[in-house]
Amino acid sequence: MKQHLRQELKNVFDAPQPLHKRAFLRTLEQPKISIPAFILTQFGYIRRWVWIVSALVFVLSATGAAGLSQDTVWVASALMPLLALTVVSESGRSQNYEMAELEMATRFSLRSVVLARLGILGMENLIVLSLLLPVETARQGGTVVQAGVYVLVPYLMTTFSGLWIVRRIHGREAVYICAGTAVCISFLTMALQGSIARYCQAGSGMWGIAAVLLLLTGTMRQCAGIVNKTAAV
Amino acid sequence: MPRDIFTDVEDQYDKIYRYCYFRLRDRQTAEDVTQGTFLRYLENYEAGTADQALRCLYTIARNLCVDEYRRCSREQSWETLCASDDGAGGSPTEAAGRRDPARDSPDEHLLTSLAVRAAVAALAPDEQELLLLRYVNEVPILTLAQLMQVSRFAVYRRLNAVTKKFKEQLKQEGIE
Repeated sequence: MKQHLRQELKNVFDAPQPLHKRAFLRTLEQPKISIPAFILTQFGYIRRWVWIVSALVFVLSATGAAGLSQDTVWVASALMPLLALTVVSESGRSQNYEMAELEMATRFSLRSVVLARLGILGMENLIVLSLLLPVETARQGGTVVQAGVYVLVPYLMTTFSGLWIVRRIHGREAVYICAGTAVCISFLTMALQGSIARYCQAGSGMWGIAAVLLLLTGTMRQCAGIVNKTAAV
Repeated sequence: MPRDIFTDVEDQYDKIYRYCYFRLRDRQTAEDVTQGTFLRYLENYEAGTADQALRCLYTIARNLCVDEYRRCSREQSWETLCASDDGAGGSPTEAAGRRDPARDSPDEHLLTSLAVRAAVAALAPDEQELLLLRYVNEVPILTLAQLMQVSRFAVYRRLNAVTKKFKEQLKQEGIE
């Protein structure tokens, strides 16, 4: 049917303005949604490249390093900042696209959304790391703790610094700076692998474990800061 | 990503209200039935896809309208549309005021508006309802099929037949 005829039909079927629409809609309660259902909806909003990068990091770390001369665990360490970057870039997305204010007024609070997405990505990264550690340990021949320290330190360093940057710098610049930081950490991991290994082995690996715990605490604090900040926007 | 009716609740309210008004021809009753429809939907149905929600809303609205007919015994025919004191459908002059200025003159538009009104009036109430649901409220074919409890192909056939009849009526009124 032609557009002008449709328009005429709309005029013919036009109804008088409803008088109490606004008042009624204000009283309308939104239907409840369970927490698992809400988290499931958030999966759809995480960009596809995040999943692709995570899968690539896992595949490259687990198998691709076989062709390189370096030890496998260092390749995994160098790729960890990339994995961490996926979390950092997603955490500040609302502010990067200047949508935070609008999202504050939506059905679900921005705070819940950020919390859910950080939780999903954190779990996803945890699964990747858990799958990677036994593979790396088997290839490297060291202990799980040693491989864990090698992999977690660059990952947590990138997450910590990235979240710190996202909290202080807004807009696209934050993503570029985070990406730059991730690349720097990745190169440093590759360049200083000998020194890091010596530190990690000194004192039965206590230095490494201490670094992981310190960075983990810092990262948790940054996450809490981001979630609190979204509530206060 | 499944969307529920609450992503565009205001728009859906207007569409359900228009549908109820078409069935009841009374502003206050139509508004009461519209609100009753939303309340009953919220009480009885879980949030589903937009299609499911739309089907539920129209089914509830239709049933409530039927209940209202029974309660008041005041089923009205389309003929009362033009004479409605609520300004149902807007007068042809008002419709002419909403024309596309680039398309035709006010007189031509008024003639088209009157011809469309007459062509719609010549259709049976269930045919008018189909035109309203599909072309005015833009209900998807699949939802219409579920609402009418027929196949999608049956809806297509029925819609084509009604559209053809409508255009023939328009032709008789001198509109191509």
